[in-house]
Amino acid sequence: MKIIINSDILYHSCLIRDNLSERLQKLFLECKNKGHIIVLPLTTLLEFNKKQSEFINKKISELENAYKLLSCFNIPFTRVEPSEIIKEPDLIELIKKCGIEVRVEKPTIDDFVEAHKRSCFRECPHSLNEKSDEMRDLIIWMIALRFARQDRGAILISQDVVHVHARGDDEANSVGLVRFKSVEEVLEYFDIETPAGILIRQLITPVWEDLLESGLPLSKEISLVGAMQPRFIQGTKGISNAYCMIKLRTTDGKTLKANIEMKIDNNVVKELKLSDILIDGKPWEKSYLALMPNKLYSSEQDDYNERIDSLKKLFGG
Amino acid sequence: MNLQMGGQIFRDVQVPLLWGSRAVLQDKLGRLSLIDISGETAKLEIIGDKPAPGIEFVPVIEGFKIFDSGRPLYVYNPKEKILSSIDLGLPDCQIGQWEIRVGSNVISGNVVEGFGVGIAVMKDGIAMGAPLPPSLAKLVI
Repeated sequence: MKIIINSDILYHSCLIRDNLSERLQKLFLECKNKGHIIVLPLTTLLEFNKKQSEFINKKISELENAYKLLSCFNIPFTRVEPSEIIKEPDLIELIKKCGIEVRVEKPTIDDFVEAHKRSCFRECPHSLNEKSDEMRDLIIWMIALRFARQDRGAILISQDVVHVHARGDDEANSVGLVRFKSVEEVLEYFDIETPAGILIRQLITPVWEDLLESGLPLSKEISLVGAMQPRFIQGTKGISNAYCMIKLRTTDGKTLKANIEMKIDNNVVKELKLSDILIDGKPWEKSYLALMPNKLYSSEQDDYNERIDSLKKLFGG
Repeated sequence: MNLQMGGQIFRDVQVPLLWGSRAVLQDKLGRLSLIDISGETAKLEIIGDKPAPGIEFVPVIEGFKIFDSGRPLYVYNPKEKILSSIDLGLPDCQIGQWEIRVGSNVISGNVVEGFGVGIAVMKDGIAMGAPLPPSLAKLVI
């Protein structure tokens, strides 16, 4: 899968010399392990370079000032041209150093035209009320949609409101574009692609309507972005209990976190309890929810009776 | 108990393979069952390649991880029939079609008869034809 990254995710508060930040290295390593490809829209690369250039100019200025100070006090030194030692980091090479495939994507003319139109008409995901006619974010949006459409899914990592707002939900969902606001969210998402995460998704899917009806500010589409510390208890007819801490995306792009506990009987989710419900770290209006969905989840039929009989035969039973 | 497992023939044994305090049994379809006999009564942990009822587990890429009160104990890979200790301090154990591999040791083509335990895998070694340790529960289900 292609992972499109906005410049705010790549932001460093200083000049990069040898390596990207540890969190980015971790992200790229995980992406590599999962077989993903990093896509940097040209806009992202340009913005990254622009910010790093500012740091370069600052460092050059600091070095020149240091030379002046040394000269002022007649302190001997060997002058090295700042441009020889303070160099612009090569983002592509730094990402490649993590062992992952990376490509820079130039916007197509279609991307430009559509972004231009949406900017002028304030169309989604552009805000209707924003004064800005900013096209950069829309161009990245168009590139992300294009890849998702082409590959039947992609990931966009960005903090920009244009990219993560619920205004873009329908369009993103229609092409399988999954959006995250941080490196941490992506890493958690990778975790929900594990067998345990997939099982949690299977259990959450049939009860999603019940979650919506409970008043939780969730979109119609299932927006599971994390399933941490999952645990299951086996029963005689499939799983009998499931526990985990889930992270869901709210309609306005915030993160809802809660501990969940499910009781399942014969593949029917009988009870669903949510506790410690937080939205962006703040308690939701209710800290606890107890639902009785009584919904069947898709699972293979358990062959427990046959297996236990087979074991009993070993004991002569 | 009489059965063939991992290329060995076990005759008149109480526990054919003991992995730490867990009896390992293989049914006619080649599926493994694990029974913890460290307590007063035997506790089924795996039945026919799947977690037993009441057992806490998490599915993982290679199979599933068995927990006890939140503590991860071991991973079982049903496809390769490999038991890998997490917190039991035991060597990996694989029940192959023709052999049993314990750590780097391969046990093949033996007949074990009239012992409490056919093959005992412990933290510090392997024993063939051992008495059933007295502290262990009777293997009944």
